Amino acid sequence: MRRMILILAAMAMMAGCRTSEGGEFNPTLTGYTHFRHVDSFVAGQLPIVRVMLLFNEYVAAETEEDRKEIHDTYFYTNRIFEGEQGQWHIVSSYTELIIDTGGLTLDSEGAVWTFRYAGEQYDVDNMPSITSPGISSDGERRLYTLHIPGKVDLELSIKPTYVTTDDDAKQELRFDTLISGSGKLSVNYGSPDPATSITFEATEPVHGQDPTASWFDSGSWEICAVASDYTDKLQAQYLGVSHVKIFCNGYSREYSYDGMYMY
Amino acid sequence: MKRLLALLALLMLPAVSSADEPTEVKVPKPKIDFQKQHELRFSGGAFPTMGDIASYPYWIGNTIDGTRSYNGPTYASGCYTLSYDFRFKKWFDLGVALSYYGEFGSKYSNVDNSKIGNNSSQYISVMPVVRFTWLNRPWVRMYSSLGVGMVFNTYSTYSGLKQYRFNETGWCAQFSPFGIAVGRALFGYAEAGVGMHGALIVGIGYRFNSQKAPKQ
Repeated sequence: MRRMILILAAMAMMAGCRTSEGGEFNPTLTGYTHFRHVDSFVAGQLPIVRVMLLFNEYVAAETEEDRKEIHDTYFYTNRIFEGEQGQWHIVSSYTELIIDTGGLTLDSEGAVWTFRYAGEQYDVDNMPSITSPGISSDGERRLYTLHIPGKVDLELSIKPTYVTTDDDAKQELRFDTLISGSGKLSVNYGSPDPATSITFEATEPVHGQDPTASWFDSGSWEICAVASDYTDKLQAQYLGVSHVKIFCNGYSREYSYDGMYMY
Repeated sequence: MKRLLALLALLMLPAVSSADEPTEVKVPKPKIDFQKQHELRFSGGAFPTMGDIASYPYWIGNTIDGTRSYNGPTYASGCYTLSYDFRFKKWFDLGVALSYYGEFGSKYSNVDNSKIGNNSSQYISVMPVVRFTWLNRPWVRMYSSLGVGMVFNTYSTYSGLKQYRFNETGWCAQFSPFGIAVGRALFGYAEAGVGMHGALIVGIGYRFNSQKAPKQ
């Protein structure tokens, strides 16, 4: 009986166990989290550039026939009309994009296109805009600057290429894009206040090809995130689509990721 | 253990012997008066089921702070239960159980891998327990039990490198459809079930009467 009691007591003591293995030391994780916001944020700014470039094709079309073809290819779900002089409206089911072309195509010298969505308020002297200062030295790429007040000032070097789509063997415009410049965004990571302010700058031109969910496959960002009680600095080097190497806190680590954060 | 097996074998014996000797005259068993009993038990339980009663404040979910530290391995103590029961009837006990269960781990910095503190979550529960004994033998009892009560949980968590401690209370329960106790005054027991006390429970107990038996 005594032996049985001892066995039972020992079993009771052994009821405890390890319930989880725990995590691992990862000094780049904070930097990676900041990077994901920057990556998605920049990628989130580029669809409007695509719309602008396609709309430039529409405006620059020499004949009504060409213009109709561009409409039917890229804007078939939109209604497009010109309001005031040089001010165009692209209306979809949910949004109305208003582009003030100043009566010039985007590639014209001195052209500055400002744009806004109907209902959004902007300082009239500091509107979102896109301009084209010229072409690259090799003549292959058109240069643009994208200005979104308080968010980004990006220099874009874009090479339009026609590709044949799988669906109906139609030729469709794609834009091979190199990005330099800088920007900033404000992220609320869950703290009520204040938000984290993230500034970023391309230290090597960031390359991407639309339209993919994850745009960028080469280039690098230098990122600085500042909140009331911390400052994080890091570098992010793209190694391929959805593949990045983060340099942070004297350590580096590669990450693969899918999808975009919402911006 | 040998003795336990011998006891189980003895339990089976009456059925076998009556089959072998059908002509034997049955002698009525002497009727033993039921005596109300007290019972003290102590057990250790593995794999307790804890309801998730921790309700972290929303700012603890700060995603960037969560990246600045990481958890080491977490260890659980097992659930230790001290209970007292009173045997009202031969088949029915009512008691109260006091339990303790703890989880412990360490928190490390993701900046320099240094230890920044300890994490713990500790549960103390009190629950009334009813026990229905469906097999009664002098040395062996088999039973089912059910308890419902309250649990108090005190736990710590981190946001960034800062530790926060919270307290919560909630409901808890234990259902053990199968339990076996072997012994007389001093006995060992084992249960299988689900709930706060564990899925597999083993322990020891002591039975005693409130009144001394009359001298014969």
